[in-house]
Amino acid sequence: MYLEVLMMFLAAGLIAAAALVVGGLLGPKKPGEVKLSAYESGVPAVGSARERFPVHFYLVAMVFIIFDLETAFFYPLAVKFQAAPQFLFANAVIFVAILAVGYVYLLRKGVLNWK
Amino acid sequence: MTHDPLWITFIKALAVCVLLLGAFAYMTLIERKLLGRFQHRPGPNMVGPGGWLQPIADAIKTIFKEDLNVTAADKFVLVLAPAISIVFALSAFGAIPAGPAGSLFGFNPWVMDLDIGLLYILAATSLGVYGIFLGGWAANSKYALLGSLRSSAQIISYELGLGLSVLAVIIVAGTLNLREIVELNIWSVSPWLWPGLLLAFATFVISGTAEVNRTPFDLPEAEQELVAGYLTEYSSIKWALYQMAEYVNMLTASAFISTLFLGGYRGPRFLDALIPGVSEWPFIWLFVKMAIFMFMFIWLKATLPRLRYDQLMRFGWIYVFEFALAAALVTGAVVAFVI
Amino acid sequence: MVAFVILAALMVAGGVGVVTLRQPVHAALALVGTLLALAVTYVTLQAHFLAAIQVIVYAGAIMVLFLFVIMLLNVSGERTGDRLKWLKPAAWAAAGVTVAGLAVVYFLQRQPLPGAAVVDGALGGGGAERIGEVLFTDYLLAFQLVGVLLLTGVIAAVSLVQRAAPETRPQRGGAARSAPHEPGAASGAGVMRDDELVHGGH
Repeated sequence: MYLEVLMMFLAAGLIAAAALVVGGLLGPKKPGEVKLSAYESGVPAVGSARERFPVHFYLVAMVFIIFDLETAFFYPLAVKFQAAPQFLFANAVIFVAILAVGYVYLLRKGVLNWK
Repeated sequence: MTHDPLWITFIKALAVCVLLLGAFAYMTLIERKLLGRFQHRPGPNMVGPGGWLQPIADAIKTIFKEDLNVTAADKFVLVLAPAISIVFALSAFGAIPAGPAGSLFGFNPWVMDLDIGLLYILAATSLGVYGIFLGGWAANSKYALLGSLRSSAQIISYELGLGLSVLAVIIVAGTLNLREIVELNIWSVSPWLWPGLLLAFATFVISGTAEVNRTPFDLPEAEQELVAGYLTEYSSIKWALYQMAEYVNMLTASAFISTLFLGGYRGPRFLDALIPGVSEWPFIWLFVKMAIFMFMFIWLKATLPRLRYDQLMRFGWIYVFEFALAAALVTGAVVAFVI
Repeated sequence: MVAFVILAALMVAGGVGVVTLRQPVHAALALVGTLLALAVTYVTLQAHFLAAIQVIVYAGAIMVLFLFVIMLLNVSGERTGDRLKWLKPAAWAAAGVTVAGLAVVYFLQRQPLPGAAVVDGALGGGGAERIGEVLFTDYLLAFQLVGVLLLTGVIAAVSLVQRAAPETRPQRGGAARSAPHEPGAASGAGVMRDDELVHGGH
């Protein structure tokens, strides 16, 4: 059954590779120093783009992982939910309540509040 | 559950890819024409009768453009990134069922029928973020890098809303198989479930719009701030691959929303009284529903201004996140205590 | 079996790539490849749900964090700090101990693998149902403890950034200028500096 997924990726990869090859072959090739420099509003580029970045992005990614994991645990719960709805609902509420503490903490710390 | 032979599957996969790319080409034209109408101007109408050959002209032009590779760029990743984008965008669509089993000349109208089809689409689309991130990084240009970093943070933030919104559907359907979700028709289970499902539907549509970077969430294209974001240093076919990926993701989002919340490939049953079996016809119903959402995407683009980045992040993390979780909990409570 | 050999080779190649590639982003990409190959291995073992979660969580979330951290630290390819000199022998030692441990387990503790029927029974088709059943009966306490663990993670992430904020600020230009405004507040540490970063270049 999962060979079908492989077929899908093969077909998509084939299309992407074909597009890249055809585009690469058919386009003209007239490189120039200015043409191949990084775009910086028409003036020569200053420094490298390999700069250090705001720590907030890291924080967002970190918090995302945590809540993504929470969601990952909810999928089996949701699938089996109708087997024991009240019991599982109570468990989900406890689980959410624990994480809600963290969520409120994030809100209070202003992490989710970009400026 | 029968499966088609592998070579048939491969042909179907290729057909899906080609159809999606054709749909991409004509969506660009339809979008421009509609935006023209929204703004009281004709839109593209010169190439071919009524402008309907415009996409072909665009395609030829793009292919024959020079393919620039910026000197400072990381060449390998620069080529890899758009390929990643388009491959995951195309592959995600394969799990969408387009009709009842065996309705495509005796074959199944889908590429794959997975027990975890819903998660497959979420996983495949979540990998699309690499295309955007790496594209911006590889170009080694400030605008590109900033754009890609912003876009990646946006995409992962709204992925949470997406992941939480589907929980309501899973709770009602009790399965991750998209075909079973369609066959069950979640709205018919109980009217008590409607508030939770409606809320989930709303948050899902909003998150989906943000995931595919459409207005009002099209921050990657905030040209006043970022030139063209992660696309800044891309040209020619590689740029076209990103455009394709964006539109294919829109198509997948439309199909995914339709499949989860609006009965996917099934038509309204009351029409069966007029034409027997019409609700079982393959393709047509999914197509109609997708067209509605594609129109909605364009309509939003014509109507809404773009959010500021801080508004976007706050909206995603505070409103969408909370309401999506609330939708799941409300649905769970109804299933547990009311029905 | 053929699939396993191919996947194992891919995973080992990815692992070697992670260690040997000089450019951190390339190394991270090699790790993504390894994780995806691992997900496919789960599929060949009929653990479909696990494979999907592996992709969503590891490849879709954790590796994105890795890339953000690489951006944040801006570790370039060539810089190898003197402070980390101890790391190389320590890494070799750790690898040696791991291999030795595996060898000991392999040669001394050999147990027959469970038959295919046993595995299939335990997996129940590999979907989410069986995992849900087990998770919310036998491992219910563990499930709730995971919630506590994740909560710890939230708090740790915030406090880590808070304390580290003054040092991790970019040293140059516009970013440092606005630094003193909000001492200690996490939101002050990394709010949208990109405009300033761009203009700082001019």
